[in-house]
Amino acid sequence: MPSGERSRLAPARRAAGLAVIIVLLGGAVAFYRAAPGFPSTPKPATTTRSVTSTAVITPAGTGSLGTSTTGRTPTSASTPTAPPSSGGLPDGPGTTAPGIYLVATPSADGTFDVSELVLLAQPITTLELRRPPVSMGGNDFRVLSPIAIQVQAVADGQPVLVPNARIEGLTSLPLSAPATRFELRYRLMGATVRTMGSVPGRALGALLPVTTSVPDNLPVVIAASGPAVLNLTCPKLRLSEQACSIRGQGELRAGRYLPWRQAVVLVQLNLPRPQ
Amino acid sequence: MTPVVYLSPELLQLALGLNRILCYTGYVLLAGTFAFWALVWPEGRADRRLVTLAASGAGLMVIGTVAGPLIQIFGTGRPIGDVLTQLDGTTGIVRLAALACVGFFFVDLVRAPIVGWRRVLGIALIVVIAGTMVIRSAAVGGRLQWLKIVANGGHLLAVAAWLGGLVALAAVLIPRENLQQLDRLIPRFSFIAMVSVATLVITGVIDAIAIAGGLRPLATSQFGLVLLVKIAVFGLMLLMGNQGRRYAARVAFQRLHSPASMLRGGSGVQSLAVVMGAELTLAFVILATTSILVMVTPAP
Repeated sequence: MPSGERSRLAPARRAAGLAVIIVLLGGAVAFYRAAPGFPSTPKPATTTRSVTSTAVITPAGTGSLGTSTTGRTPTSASTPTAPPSSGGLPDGPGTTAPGIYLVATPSADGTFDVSELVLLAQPITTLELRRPPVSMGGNDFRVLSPIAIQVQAVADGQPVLVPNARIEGLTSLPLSAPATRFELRYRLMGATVRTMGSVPGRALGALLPVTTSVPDNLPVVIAASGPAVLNLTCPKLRLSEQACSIRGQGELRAGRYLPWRQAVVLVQLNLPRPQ
Repeated sequence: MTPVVYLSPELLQLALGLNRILCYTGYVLLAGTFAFWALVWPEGRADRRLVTLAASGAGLMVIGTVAGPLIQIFGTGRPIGDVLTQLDGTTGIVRLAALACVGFFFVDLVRAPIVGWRRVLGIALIVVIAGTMVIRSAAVGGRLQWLKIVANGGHLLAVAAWLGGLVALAAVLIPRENLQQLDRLIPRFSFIAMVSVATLVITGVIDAIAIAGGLRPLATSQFGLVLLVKIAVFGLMLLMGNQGRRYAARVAFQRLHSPASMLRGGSGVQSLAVVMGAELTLAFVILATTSILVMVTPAP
């Protein structure tokens, strides 16, 4: 293009450039405001409550429980959350951020009724489940062979058939479509040992996710609810951090996100007298 | 939403990985050329090859920025709310605005040597683009967030100055049209490269430890393994860079002090071109391993 013509077009080019930049910057502001309303995969109902003064939130290896980590969306660090007593779920791994949220309620026979919520950053086509390696809980658990029975699984809202509804070893569940959000419900048997030499009914249970083949550092939250639950410890953490229990609204939970490879919690129980 | 083209998780990872390489390459070409103009050779704005490098970089960055979310939306059928977080989308659009600024005002920018306000604008654009990359990285979130952000930002700017400068230098040098500039450019670039490499090492160590969550997790994770590969290639590049610098200094000296040796100087430049070509290949390997690092970054 001749230089004269080029210089005549220069003001138009600059004006067009400014207009495009202004539109884009306006678009950025508009996106920031509108993004929370964009359609997304339905999330479980969440309830947010302030942590009570008794809940001590400590820094953790992969982030503290009190900080809502919804992806990389900016969050207010001054509003930590705790699991509500019933029904609702806390923000965090497994519910609103990649990770696993496992909550278990012990029965009188020492089995656990477990709900395991899994949220992954990337979709997968096969869900891998394992017999929970309770030996991670220590010597008392080495001889145990726990199994999960009555297993129900849902992937992105679609039921997934679990063979015999049991998990006795490594189980691969092919999915009909790639999914990121899973919910597992099961009864965990054989993960509890009675504490000999203690008061009758005193027992120790090991809780860890049955979901496997996930990133080693995937954050895991483990909680135990019910009147039988006395205390929690995290045996895979450093000695000074093993007393990891904090009290939420009606349940005890590990006061930190556990990386998946270290995600095991011991629950001290007072099993009720059979009626 | 039904996926337009269904991508298996493996294919999706591959497509996103290639897109990241596209983005990083674009950044190195664009920011590197701007850094080269601003810090090493302001008069080089008239060099057609450098102009082409910067324009190609801007084009690759636009494609990479737009293609990332589109691959996820059309390849998985996931809704936009799952694909773009509030921050990711916003920074993506801000980056496009910065690239639009490059596109529409490029002619004005390179009309005269990159000094004064042109230098300020060029560096500001690099900083904005690098900033949008930092915000979309693993530096945001988790513990030591601000330390990671500063380290990551410093790392990206040093990459622009060193790796981008290397590409720009090769573009100037290999065609052998600007040999008379060598004796001025090499010392300037050597200084910039030295500062950049020191910054890269320091920020890289801080960033890796902070992201992995400590030395032990770094040593035992997949992230640490890929990082080790990257460091090995980086070390190899440094060795070759040193060799190249010595070649170039020799050529510059010959040109300055013994005009009769010009022909031999030509062969020296040819050797330098080979070394730089190998270095650029290694640079591409580094970009690829960086792209893999993003995939295996531990959750914050």
